This record gives sequence, C-alpha cells and structure tokens, in this order.
Amino acid sequence: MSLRGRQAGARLRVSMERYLVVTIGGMQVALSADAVEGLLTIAESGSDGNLAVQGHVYVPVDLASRLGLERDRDSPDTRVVLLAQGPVRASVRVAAVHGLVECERRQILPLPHQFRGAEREWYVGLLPLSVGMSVVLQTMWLLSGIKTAVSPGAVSYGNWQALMSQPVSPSMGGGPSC
Amino acid sequence: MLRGAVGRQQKSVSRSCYLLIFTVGGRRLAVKTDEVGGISSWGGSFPVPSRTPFVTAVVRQDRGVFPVFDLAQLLHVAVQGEQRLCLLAKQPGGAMAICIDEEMPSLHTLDAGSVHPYLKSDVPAAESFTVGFEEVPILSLARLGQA
Repeated sequence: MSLRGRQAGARLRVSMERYLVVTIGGMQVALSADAVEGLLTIAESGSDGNLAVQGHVYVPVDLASRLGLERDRDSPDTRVVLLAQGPVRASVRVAAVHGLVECERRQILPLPHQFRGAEREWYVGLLPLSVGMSVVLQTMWLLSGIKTAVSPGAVSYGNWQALMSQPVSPSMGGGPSC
Repeated sequence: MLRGAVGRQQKSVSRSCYLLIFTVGGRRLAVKTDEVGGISSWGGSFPVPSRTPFVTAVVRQDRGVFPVFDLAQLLHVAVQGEQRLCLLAKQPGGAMAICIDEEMPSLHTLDAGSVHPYLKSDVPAAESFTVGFEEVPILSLARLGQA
C-alpha cells in the first residue's frame, strides 16, 4: 500500500462529534448534538410542565438540581433544549445557549481519576474550549428515569434548525482549543 | 570498607527532611518537597459538580487539566489574598491542584529527629513538627482525596 493510501485511510477514521454548549448553574455544559431536537424560548415553551411538540411529549428534567447546582433565574437568554434518544424525550431549561462545537473524540479529556463518585456516570469527559472548559454530559444519564409519552399537541420547533446552520458563537472562541 | 562508607552516607542523607511550608486560610502546613509538582499563580478553576468530597473543580494549566482538591473547605477556612497560588500535588496516576494563600511558600530542611507522629485526624497527615508552640502537620499529598 502506498503512503498516500495510508494517509487517506487514517483521515477517514477521524470521527467528528458535535456538541451544543449551554450554560446552566453558572457552568458550561456540552450536550451531544445528536440528541438535540430543538430549542425553544420561554415564551414558546410555556409552563414548566410536560411540553408537547409535534406530537411528542418532552418531560422536563431539572438538570441544575441533578448536578447540585443552583437553578438559574429566567432571563431573555433562557432557552429550553429539547432532547431525545430513541423514544425517550426530555426538555432542559438552560440559562443560555452558546452554540455548536465540533471536535474529535480524542479532544474530550477523560475525567481525572480523583473524581471517584457517581459523577463518573454523569460525564463523558471534559472539553477544553478556547475560552474556558465544558463538561460533556452523558446523554444516557441525562435521560435516565424518564418515561415515554405521546401527545397530539403541536408547537413550533423553535430556531434549532437555524442554529445548526450558524457558526459557533464568538464567545466560544471558535471551538475547542486542542 | 567501601560498603561501610556507603552505608554511613545513606544514613546521614536520610536524617534530613526537605519540606515546603505554606498556608491555607492562615493555617501553616507542610509537605515533603518530593511530593510537590510545582507552584504557580492561581488562574481560577472550572466547576465540575461531583459527589467526591472536596473534589468539585478542575484547573487548566499548560501541561493539562488537573482536578482541584479544596483543602480550604476541608480546613473550614477561606483562602487568603488576591494573588493566590496553586500548589500541584504529585499523585499516582496524575497530579492534583490545591489553592493556597498568596503568602509565598518557603523551603525548610529539618532534622528527621524533629519530626513526630501527627495524632489528629483533621488533615491527611502522619507526621508533624513544631515551630514555637505551633504544631505544623506534614500533609501526605498522595493521600489527599483518598479517604
């Protein structure tokens, strides 16, 4: 096999992953973009209860409480992130959405071994950004314990599709640093 | 003859204890210098919510990302000063950062005979020494976060 052939093969094996970086409880959290189905403003989402969007019910998850963080006060930047994995759907209220970050899997650093508690199930790892650091949440953990439900309600999808086509917010400094 | 000389030399070396003395919240503590990875300015930490006692953040430095051991919380004190320092503790499998007071740490060489067992359990220390009336525990950095 030629060298050129080997390089091409190696390049193909690099898998990129995308994360939606949000702020919750004062910390930056990265959610797998594969699980994100939509973004809503507070006005679009309505009350804190179950959310019906295009026939699907999204069960609210108090992520701040699950992480032991203080719950954010609602502001004009507050968004509701719609998440789904298989038939399980959940909505998470976040203080702000920063944008999408694309990175290679190897750029996510493993949680240091000194973290020995239940948190090892919460995080995929740590993602260094040009400015700051984000913890990458385990979608499985985030959606664990949620029962599936179906509703015929119809609400618009919000601006998620528009966000997907936008570059990463300048405040993120252009994505991961390494 | 040679064997005897080497033996005496090793014995004299082992009689000295090299320590770094620093403060957290004004409390004086010591660590063995061979357990210290470095001292640098404290650049702030990033919270990582966890259930591990005293380990709820990480710091980012040139050489990588390190977990933070909140020694001040363990001691029920607040780190003092505006220009705080970061003590990097060597641990098996990776270093751990500790935020310490801005007071510059100092190096000390003690005679091994001045070191006594530390009987209290407030900090992970097996030994201590006395300065005036103050007992200064010698922290076992490798044991931080293990209890």
